Amino acid sequence: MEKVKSPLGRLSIHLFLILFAIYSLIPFFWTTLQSFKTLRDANSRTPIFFFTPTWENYQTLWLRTVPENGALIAYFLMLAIVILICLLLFANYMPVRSSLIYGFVFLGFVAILWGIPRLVEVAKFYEYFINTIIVTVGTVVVSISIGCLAGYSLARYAGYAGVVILIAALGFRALPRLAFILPYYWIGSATNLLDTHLLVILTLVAVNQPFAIWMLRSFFMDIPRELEESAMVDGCNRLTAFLRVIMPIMWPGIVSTALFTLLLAYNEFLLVRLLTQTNWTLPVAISRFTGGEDPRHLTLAAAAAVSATIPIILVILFFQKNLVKGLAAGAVKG
Amino acid sequence: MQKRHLITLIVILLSGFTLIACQTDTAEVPQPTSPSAPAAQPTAVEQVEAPVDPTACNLEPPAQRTTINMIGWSFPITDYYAAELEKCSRVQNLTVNANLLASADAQEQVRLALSAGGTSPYDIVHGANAQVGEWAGVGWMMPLNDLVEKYWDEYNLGDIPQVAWEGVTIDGQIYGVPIVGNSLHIIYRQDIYDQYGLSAPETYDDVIAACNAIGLDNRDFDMPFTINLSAGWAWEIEFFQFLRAYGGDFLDANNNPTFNSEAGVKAVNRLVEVANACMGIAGYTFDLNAQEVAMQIGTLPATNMWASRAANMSDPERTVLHEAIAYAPAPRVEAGSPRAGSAWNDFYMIPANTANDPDLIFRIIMEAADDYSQRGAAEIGMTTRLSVAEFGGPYLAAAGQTVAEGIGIYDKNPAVGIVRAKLGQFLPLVGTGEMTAQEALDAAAAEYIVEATAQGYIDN
Amino acid sequence: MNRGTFFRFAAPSIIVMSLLMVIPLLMAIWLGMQFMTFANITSPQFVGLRNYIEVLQDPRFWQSFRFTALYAAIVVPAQLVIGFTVALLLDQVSKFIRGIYLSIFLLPFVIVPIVGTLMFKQLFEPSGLMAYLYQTIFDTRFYYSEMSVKALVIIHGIWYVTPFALVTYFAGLQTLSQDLLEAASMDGATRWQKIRHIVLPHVRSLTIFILLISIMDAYRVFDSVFILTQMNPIYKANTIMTYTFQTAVTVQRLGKANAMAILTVVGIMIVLIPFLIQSYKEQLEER
Repeated sequence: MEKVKSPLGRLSIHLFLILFAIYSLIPFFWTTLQSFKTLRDANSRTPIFFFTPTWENYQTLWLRTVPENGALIAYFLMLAIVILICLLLFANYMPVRSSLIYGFVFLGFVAILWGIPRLVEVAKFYEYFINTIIVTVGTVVVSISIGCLAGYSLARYAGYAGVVILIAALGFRALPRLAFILPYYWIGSATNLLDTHLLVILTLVAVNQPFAIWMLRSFFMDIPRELEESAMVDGCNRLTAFLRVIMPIMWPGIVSTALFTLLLAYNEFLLVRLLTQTNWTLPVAISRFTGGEDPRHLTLAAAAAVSATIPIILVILFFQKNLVKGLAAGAVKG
Repeated sequence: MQKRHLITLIVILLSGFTLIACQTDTAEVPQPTSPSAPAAQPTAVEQVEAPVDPTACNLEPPAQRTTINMIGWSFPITDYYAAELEKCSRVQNLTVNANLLASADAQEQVRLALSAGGTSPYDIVHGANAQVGEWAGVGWMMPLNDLVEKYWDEYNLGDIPQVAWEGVTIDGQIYGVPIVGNSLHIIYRQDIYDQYGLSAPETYDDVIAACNAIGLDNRDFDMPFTINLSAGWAWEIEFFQFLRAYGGDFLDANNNPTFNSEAGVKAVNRLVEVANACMGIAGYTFDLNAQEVAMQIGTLPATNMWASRAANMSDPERTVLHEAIAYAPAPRVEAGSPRAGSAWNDFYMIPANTANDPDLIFRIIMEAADDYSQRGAAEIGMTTRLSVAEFGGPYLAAAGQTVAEGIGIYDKNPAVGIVRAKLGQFLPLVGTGEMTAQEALDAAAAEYIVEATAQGYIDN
Repeated sequence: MNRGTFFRFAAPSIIVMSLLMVIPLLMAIWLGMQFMTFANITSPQFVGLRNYIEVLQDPRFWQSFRFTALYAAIVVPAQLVIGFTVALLLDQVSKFIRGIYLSIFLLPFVIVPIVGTLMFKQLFEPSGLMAYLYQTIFDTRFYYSEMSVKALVIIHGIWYVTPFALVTYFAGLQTLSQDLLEAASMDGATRWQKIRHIVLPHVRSLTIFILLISIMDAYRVFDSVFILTQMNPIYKANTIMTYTFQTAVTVQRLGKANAMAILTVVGIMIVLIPFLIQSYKEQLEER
């Protein structure tokens, strides 16, 4: 629509948007503030905005003991992370093949995560963070792999079976977790897979499939059939055509779906809580602080909340366009 | 896309380096979970010649890599013990994980994990009196008599009083090691009570009188006095104390409910009376944390609260009022009755189906429950060893008196677990006026009978 | 694509979904017919339809259903209205600022629900910012009661799901044809008329889509209620999902909990089936 011209109109538009932004951000702002306060400051009835900040909540959460040369280790880690991010961003400009660079960066991050506990004595929270990463990455990889195959085939196949599967998937997507959880617990204890990452990943993949195949299918339907058909005429079979020709074009759509799968796996509380006993992920670890057992949990919970949110904020910052596109694609295609 | 990523990168860089630069200024992090006794940092260089450090975990490494998992809930003294357990991870081939949740959640996890049979995912389970009947009574926990006898002298287990061992013994079988003591007693502000001409309450009549003197609408305070009625289990605990103080009990010898008797109704009505005079409608959702903090910032003149939280009242990090706070034993429900305070203990138990060596697990528990550990723990809670009582806080006398003159320990009958669950469902509804005391108790009794019959505790 | 290739491609997905969704659902129906607690979890007792009947007669179940319905009745329209309004406003600002706003607005939707609820709760603790503002404005202390906790759950619900409606509407607005709008301007239509007669019809199918998804999500709300109410019966703020969870883990009636979950599924299906049928027809046409 055409823009509002009057200055009063424009002012009120911006005012409203700013108010809505404040409304969206207030919980984050307040919790971040609380996480840097000492217990006495945090418990004050009158909110304190000017105080001496302290790291102790984060330190209690993440570290068992503060190392002597902590600053040095932190500098070293920061440097390593920065180098890896640079490699990632400028991969296209390097003389080496970009897939090698991506692989190297991935290995680099794994090395950092593996190395941190050996440099510093970390607390349980770090382990829960690693569990979350394992579960999230595992779910995304498996879910997208089989989802792409299914989505592609659903986009290209004209038979009734395809429609039935789609509608059934839509129905399953609407179902509440709790309908599945107790049977999952049963299955888990029968197969002795309780408390393993594998079980959580498999169940999350299953729960996410309906959404994934619908979304991927709608992206695939946008790609004209002629593309793979011409590849098949040239002698590829269906699978090779799919991998070589279609997938590279599909990349943005895949990233969008992967993002939603990532969010689903990262945020999952109920499944992890009931299916694991010690290998918890961050949401369950944070629920430790919600029971009102110790006033100290106020600031620790705040620190934990901020720690859990930072990766997600980074994800949004980098992938905001893909997220919006994904939501839009889901909507426009019905 | 390029530019935005570069900007983000630069922002991350700058903030990262700034924050690190700030960090170098902060001193050693105040770790509330480590003891104030001199703790040796495990540097490899000095290990050879150093004397045995009693605060570290002094166990021989097991032959193979072993992982020990503990589940429990988190409040200051149990956090301390969990950290002590985890110190044993420094022993070669050994990893000890303390998995902590909120109390109700931790208990749910244990139920889920142990009910399915099979190997237990946990090797150490943290439970309190209420859980002893529910878990050990149905055979989920391992009797420890042999281990206790074996290590009696080495770890001086006689230092832990008999009444604590009683709480975890069923039919002569000891199912756990007592590590924490607890009770509910009065914590109050001496200065405010002096100001209003009040003395420490001896019965709940005194409590109500004090509340009337200070006034429910007093703008200086949140409310004149609090007891914890902020959750189903909180109601159940207070109800139990009042019920016993009036001479009643949960069940009779045949597991039939007796809590909906006259004594039970009196107990509930008394609770509501105290709540109405002292807390008002807001008191039914004023949880323990809020009460503790209110005491510490000065908006609460008095409360009946756990001894474990009393320990926080003398912590200068939490309150500037520690000089003014005084302690008294729990009040009696009426003149001549026992004090409405029970003898609580928290225990570390070992599940019957653990895959690891019970001897090793027991010794790990002992490392957390030995003299040195308890000495450090005494500053932040009520420990069990008598020898470290001198290191405890100023509230110990009040807590001790409550235990001595109170209503004793929970029944270790597994059927009691069902009673507690049902009471927790119905009692809070009395607070809102939705049900009368008799209705709520009868409803709980009815559901209890159904449940207990189905599970075989009541013979028909 | 022929049938064989289709099934080969789709096989992993179909297998995973059948094994881990269809079969557990059937299991849940069967488990719902057992009397099972933690004490006899390995040897449950068959009781037929007794659990299902018990659930339907359970007043607390209906109470939680009523609160879930209340939650849906407030949150869904609110998010539609707010989302649509903000999307319209976002359309008015420049592209660069739009990106920033979108990132900010998306934040409540993408964070862990437990964390979001925790943050929300901290605002209303005695030490919280909102509690303080409440006291300054209304001159009474903010305390948790049935009314205030229910209000918190609902307000959190709105805070949490509005970004979804917002972004979807925003994307939909982008596909609005400019020619139509210009033609309307030339005919002398005011802004309001344009919104009513051109924009709203254009986003009609989007609205139905959002409506459906958010009703389904409202049925399933759990995390926020779990944290905000701590399952305290005094608030009477149980939703269907939290009551099912409570029945399973606190009351320890696993069979009854399964029955409840299955009945919830049936309830959802009743709402969903017309839409599924319509979707089926659409898909067939698209073939």
